[in-house]
Parts: sequence; C-alpha cells; structure tokens
Amino acid sequence: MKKLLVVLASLALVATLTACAKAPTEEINATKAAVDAAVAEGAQQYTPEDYKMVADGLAAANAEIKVQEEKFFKNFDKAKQILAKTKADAEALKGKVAQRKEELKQAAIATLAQANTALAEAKALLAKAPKGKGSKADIEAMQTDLAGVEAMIPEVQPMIDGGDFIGANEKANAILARITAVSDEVKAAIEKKK
Amino acid sequence: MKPISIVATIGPALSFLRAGSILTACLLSLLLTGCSEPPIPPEVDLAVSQDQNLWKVGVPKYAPREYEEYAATLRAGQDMLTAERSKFIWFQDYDPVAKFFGDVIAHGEQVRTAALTAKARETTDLSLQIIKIGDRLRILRNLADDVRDKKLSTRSMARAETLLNEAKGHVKNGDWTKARRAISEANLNVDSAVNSTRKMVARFADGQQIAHWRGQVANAIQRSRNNGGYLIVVNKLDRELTLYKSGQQVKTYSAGMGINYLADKLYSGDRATPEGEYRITRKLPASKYYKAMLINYPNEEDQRRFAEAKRRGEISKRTHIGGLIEIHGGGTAGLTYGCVALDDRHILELYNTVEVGTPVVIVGALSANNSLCSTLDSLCNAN
Repeated sequence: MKKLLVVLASLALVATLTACAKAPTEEINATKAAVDAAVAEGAQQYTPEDYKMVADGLAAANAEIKVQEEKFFKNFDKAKQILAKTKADAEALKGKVAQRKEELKQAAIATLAQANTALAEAKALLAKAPKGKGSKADIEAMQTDLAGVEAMIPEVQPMIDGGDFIGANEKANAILARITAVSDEVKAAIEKKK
Repeated sequence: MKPISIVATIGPALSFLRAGSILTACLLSLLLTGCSEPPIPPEVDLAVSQDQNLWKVGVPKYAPREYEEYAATLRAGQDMLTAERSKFIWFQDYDPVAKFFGDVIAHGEQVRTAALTAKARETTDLSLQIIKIGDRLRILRNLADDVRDKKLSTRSMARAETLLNEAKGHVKNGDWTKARRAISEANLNVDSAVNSTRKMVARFADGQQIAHWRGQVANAIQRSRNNGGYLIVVNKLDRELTLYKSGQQVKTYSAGMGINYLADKLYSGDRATPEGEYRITRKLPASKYYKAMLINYPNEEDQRRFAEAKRRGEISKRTHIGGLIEIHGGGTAGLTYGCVALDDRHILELYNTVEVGTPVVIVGALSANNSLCSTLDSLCNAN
C-alpha cells in the first residue's frame, strides 16, 4: 500500500510539472489567420519586406512549438510570445498594406485625372493653333499623336478597378508624359507662328 | 479500514524523496536543469538575418530558382536545429548545426551575387531594348520630319512612345514582367509603323520604278535638247525643281510639296503631288501664292489610273479626280495640298522664263541611293 502511494505521488508530481504544457493551438490558428489576411490584402506585393518578417515570425513560432513538443517538460511560453507578436505584426501589416494600396490607388486616380485634363488642354491648344498650308500638316500630326495617346487612357481605369495600382500608376504617368510632350510641341508651334 | 489523510498520503512520498536513491535525486535535478538550453550557435541568427536581407534586396525576384534552393537549405538547417533542440540536453550537439548554417550563409552570399548579377543583366538588357525601340521610333520621326510627309506620323508611334515610357517605369521598379510586356507591345507598334512606312516608301527603293522615272527625265531632256526648249523637272524626294534649256541644266530651286507627297496623286483631296509628264497650261500673274503656273493634271495616264482605282473599289465612286495643280510661290517651308511651291523670288524668275506649253516632268526620285532607301534599310536592320 505504501509503495502504491509513493508511485501515485510521483505520477502526480510529474503530471503537475507537465500539466500546463499544451500546444497553443488557438494562438497558432489566430496568428496564421492574421498572416493569411495580410497576404490576402496583398502584403507580398505591396510590402514584401514586412510580409517576410511576419512569415518568419510564424515559422519561428512553429519551430519553437515543435521543439517543445519533443521535450519531456514542455514550455510553450516563448512560442506564445512569438505568436502574439507575429499576430499583432500581421494585423498591423494588413492595415499598412490597405493604406499603401489606397495611396497608390489615389495616386493613379489623380494622375489619370491629370492626364485627362492635359489632354483636354492639348486639344484646346490644337484647336486654336493657326492652320495654314504650312502648319496644317504639323497640326494633323500632333492630332494623330494625341489620338494615339488618348486611345490608351481607357486602359488605366480597368487596371485600377482590378487592383493593379502600381501598373495603373505607371501607365497613367506614361500617358501624362506623352500628352505633355505633345502639348509642348503645340505651344512651340504656336510660338513659332507668332 | 482507517481513512487515508493527506498527511498520511504525502508523508510517505516525502519520506520516499528524502530517503530516495541518489539516482532519483540526480534524475530530478537533471530534469529541472533541462529547461536551460545551451546557447544556439550565432550562425543561426546570422543566417536568418541574411535571409531577411536577401529578401530586402529582392533576391527572390531577381534569382527565384537560386533563392528557392537557398531557402530549402535554410529550412533544412532550421529543421536540423529544431531536431537538435528537441533532444535531451545531454545529447544536444550544435557543432553540426553551426557548420550547416555556416554553409547556408556561404550559399546565401552566392545567391546574393547571382541575384545582383541577374538584376544588372536584366536591367541592362531591358534598357537596351528600350533604347533600340526608341532609336527606331526616332528614325521614323526623323523620316517624317525629313520628308515632311505627316502621314508617317501614326497613332502606333504615339502608342509605342507611351509604352516605352511605361516600360522605363517598370524597369525602375524592378517589375521585369510588366516591363517586358510593355516593351513587346511597343515593339509591335513600331513594327506596325515601319510596315505602313514601308508600304508608302517602297516605290522609292524599287529599282524598276527608279529606272522608269530616270527614263522619263532622260527622254524629256533629250526632247529639250532636240527642240532647244525649256523643261521643268520636279524631283519630289529631293524637293527640287530643275529648269533645263536645250537639254542643259539651267538652275535648280528648292521646292515644297504636298502634305502626302510621297504618294502619287490619285484623287481630289488626297493632298499628294502628281507624278508624270505634264505641261504648263496657264500662267496666273496674281495668284493667292504670288504667281502660279497651272499644269494639265489630270493627264490621260492620271485619268486611266483613277478610273482603274474606282473600278477596283479602291476609292469611292463619288470621289473626283481633282485638278488645279500648280507650280506656285508662297515659299517652300510649308506643305501644299499637292502643288509644287517655290520661294516667291524663284517663282518670279521661273514665271518670267517659261511659257505656256513648257513640259513639266514630276518624278518621285532619280537615285536608288536615296534617303528613304537608306532609312528603310536602317529601320529594317534595327529590328
């Protein structure tokens, strides 16, 4: 009887020492969900460095859990700490990505609006440019140029709508630059005629 | 049976511990000290930080295959570390881990070099492609300016220029896929512009056509020599009007042409300068363009070509053949609707020299080694 009690007491002691050591499954799931949400928002495309940090955080937490699971006396405190930090980082990252996307979107919209305004101005300039036998052909060439660039403007909005804000920005900027160049040519031609 | 109190239960256990074997005590002590692990080799942190740096400089983007291999090695190292850390403290040996991570770091450096080389190579390659397409565009633009045929300025050229600007932005951002796409589209647009230019200027590089024009001029000069009369020869590509007398060249004037002067005039409003053998039918002393001399466009050949084009449906049935093609003043700087324009002092000279009936031969070019020919060559070779 005495021996049995000794064995039971020893088992109770071991159980007490290992009782708290359960893998933090909920924390893992919550952190993974937060990282996935940041990825879904576009973290890999818009903030790749930050994405790498949270992805590494999740991997480090998983590695720590794996280590502890193999231990006789498990201690998941460090893993929990890493998970908590990674989760917070991932949540902040999601917001950061959304903000970055919005900035790029607004920039693309603004550049597109600028391009449309510049186009209207260039057309107005061309309309009032003196048309003689000598300048008619130049004006027609500039009109052709403008028409060529104008045909590209409708390509920007679908890119914005599709979430390709970086691509939309580049296209809108390129269009604006070309319209500005034509506008400058028109102004130079008008100046020459004066 | 006596009830078992807590004291009665723990008491023997404690006494067991107190009186337990040395082995049990040692085991417990070692189990408790197992929580404090030996330090992880510094190579591990260095490798992790290297991976983040590689990511920061865009290695996965510039050398994806090499980075993937590196990342797999790093993952293997981390698994090795995990396995080592999972072992009981007595059996942990981090020397192989440190060595493995040392190798990972060396591998990472190789990958970084490969990525930076690939980045430089790709950026250079894309930039060169942009420059090459830009050069072809410049040749086209210069050609349009040189020959002053504004039909050579096309929408596809404007589109190509815009796409090249866009491609430059993508190269700057390191987005090679989008840069390649924009470059490829720009190239297609330049090809389209080159092809339409080639169609327009092919006649000027055609040996048979050049021989025909040379023959027309040679025959007219021979007739001038035979009859001792004046002859006007207009070379459209060289933008020159040459006056002959008795087969001898008297004077050459710069001349302005039609907006669409590379084409042979076919119908009213095409703004092309006609080609063929004509004569002065009327002299206009008070023209809108100072002084003018009307030629007999359309001649029989023009009418035949016009009728043929109509029959083939190449032009609308309501289209007229046009007329009122003159050699007039007003200056050579501008472009005409198909007439040949001279500076006022030159038209006055010519007007006072030649009479109604003077033959006028208008040809596209007289040399196969003309500017259009060489430009066309450079455009085709540049592709």
